[in-house]
Amino acid sequence: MNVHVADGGAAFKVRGLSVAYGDKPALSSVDAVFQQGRMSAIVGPNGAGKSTMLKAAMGIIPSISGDALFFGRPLDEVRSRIAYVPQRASVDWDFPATVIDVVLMGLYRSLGPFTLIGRRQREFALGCLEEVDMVSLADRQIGQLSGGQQQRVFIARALAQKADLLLLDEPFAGVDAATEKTIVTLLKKLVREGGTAVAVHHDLSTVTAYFDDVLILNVRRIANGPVKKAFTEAHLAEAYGGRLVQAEPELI
Amino acid sequence: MGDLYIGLVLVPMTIGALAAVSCALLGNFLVLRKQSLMGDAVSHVVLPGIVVAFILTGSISVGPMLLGAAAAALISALLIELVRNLGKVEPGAAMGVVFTALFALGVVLLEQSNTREVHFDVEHALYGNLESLVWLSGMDAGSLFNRAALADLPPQLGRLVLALAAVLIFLVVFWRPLVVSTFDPVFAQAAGVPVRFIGAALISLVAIVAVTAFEAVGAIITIAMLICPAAAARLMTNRLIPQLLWSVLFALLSAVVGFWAAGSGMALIGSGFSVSAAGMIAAVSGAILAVCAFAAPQRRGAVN
Repeated sequence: MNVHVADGGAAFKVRGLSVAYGDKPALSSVDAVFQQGRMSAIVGPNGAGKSTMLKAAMGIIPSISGDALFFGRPLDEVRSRIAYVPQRASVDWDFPATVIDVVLMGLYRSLGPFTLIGRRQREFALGCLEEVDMVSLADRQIGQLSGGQQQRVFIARALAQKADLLLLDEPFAGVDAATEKTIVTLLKKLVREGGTAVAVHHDLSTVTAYFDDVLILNVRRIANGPVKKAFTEAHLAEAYGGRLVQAEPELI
Repeated sequence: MGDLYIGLVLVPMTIGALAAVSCALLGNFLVLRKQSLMGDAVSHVVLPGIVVAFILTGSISVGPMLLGAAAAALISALLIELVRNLGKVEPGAAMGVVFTALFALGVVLLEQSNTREVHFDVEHALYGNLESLVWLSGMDAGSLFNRAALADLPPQLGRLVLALAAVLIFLVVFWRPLVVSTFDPVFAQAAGVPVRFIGAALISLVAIVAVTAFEAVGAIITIAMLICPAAAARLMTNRLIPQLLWSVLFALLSAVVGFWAAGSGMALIGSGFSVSAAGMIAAVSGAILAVCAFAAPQRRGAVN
């Protein structure tokens, strides 16, 4: 049909994407490809434009130029196949809702505007919570959750979307070790089953263990490809300005 | 129950209650979106709109006034966006600047214009005129079924019923996108919720309700009801729908208790005069919020 069909293997692709906040460039003509059935990390120093890239690709913030393709198509044609998981800190957890209420928000696209939520939907949402070990907290008010539990709720909501592509913004920021392990195991399972995961990631020490592919970013693209090839000391030095690469996870 | 009870008490009390409930329902979402000030802003800027409409048309008929108020609300929303973007300041600051300036402009215009003769002044704008919205044909229960008597009902009653209907329809039709975009606007946008449209619709509805309520009961009730019942309700429960129901209950309680206290209540404590019903209704809603802040079950909010 068109040239994009040739990239059948790319779940997510950005081309020449540029974004600016005021006069300050946040992303400069970035090209990147994320393959289907792989788990990819986006790494780079603070202010490198990692979250910005996901948000601009999803049309959440405006871009100056460039575009994003999902499964070779523009966003609006395949929105239902994509689940976006925002940073945990981007919402007010004091909102009057329970854990299962938030998970049910993941059904927004599959439910019509007037379909009432019934037993079937609740069972399905509980199944999603089961995947992240949160069933026992289904009726807990979300303000009473720990950081790790909040992140698990967000992951469960993304599961409820039954998407083929998960875009995660800092899924491991400020979560406990058990939660990190649960989420990684779950994402690896989804990827084995043919799904695709792309995560903004801070902790360089776990990139090799968790991810198949990597995009190293610092306003412009430094490297993009399999971890073995792209995740090199030279590329990291280029991205992090020659400073010694920090091994500790950065917390928000 | 006296003969004039329906006409002199029940009708104005119902008008106050309708205004209070419409404002309270929308107020829940303003409070959750940290946009409480927006209701305040809209209620304030309505004043210059009404005054300009009066100056232009020379009448206090409802049509031009509602138009003027709506235009002012729209202009203020645009100005707030402008100040926010050009000044790169937080939304609260932008709203504060715009609504204070426009309200002040309204007061100055009001003082300059020839409005005294038509009983249109600052006090009227602030407190409304709830006590005067009586139904003199409503002598007894029988007049509720008398077509001629019903035609004599204050027109504000009908307009507020329509405003409440608009609020209820909005909530039912847009419930899911409204809730999702209020809790997590970033997720909502990614999931294809028309976030901007929902936000604009909510603010427009606040403007419509504020204008309608303002004309009937004044700015004081409007501002108080957009914030107090919803804020108090949030302290009573951790679920959204119960929160809405609590806010409606608090709004009704404020209207009924406030209206009663302003008239009969003052007489009961031996005072020779009654006080503004609008002021008393707003004060009762503030008192409910204060009690909730000290004694409500969920006042601690999030633990973490």
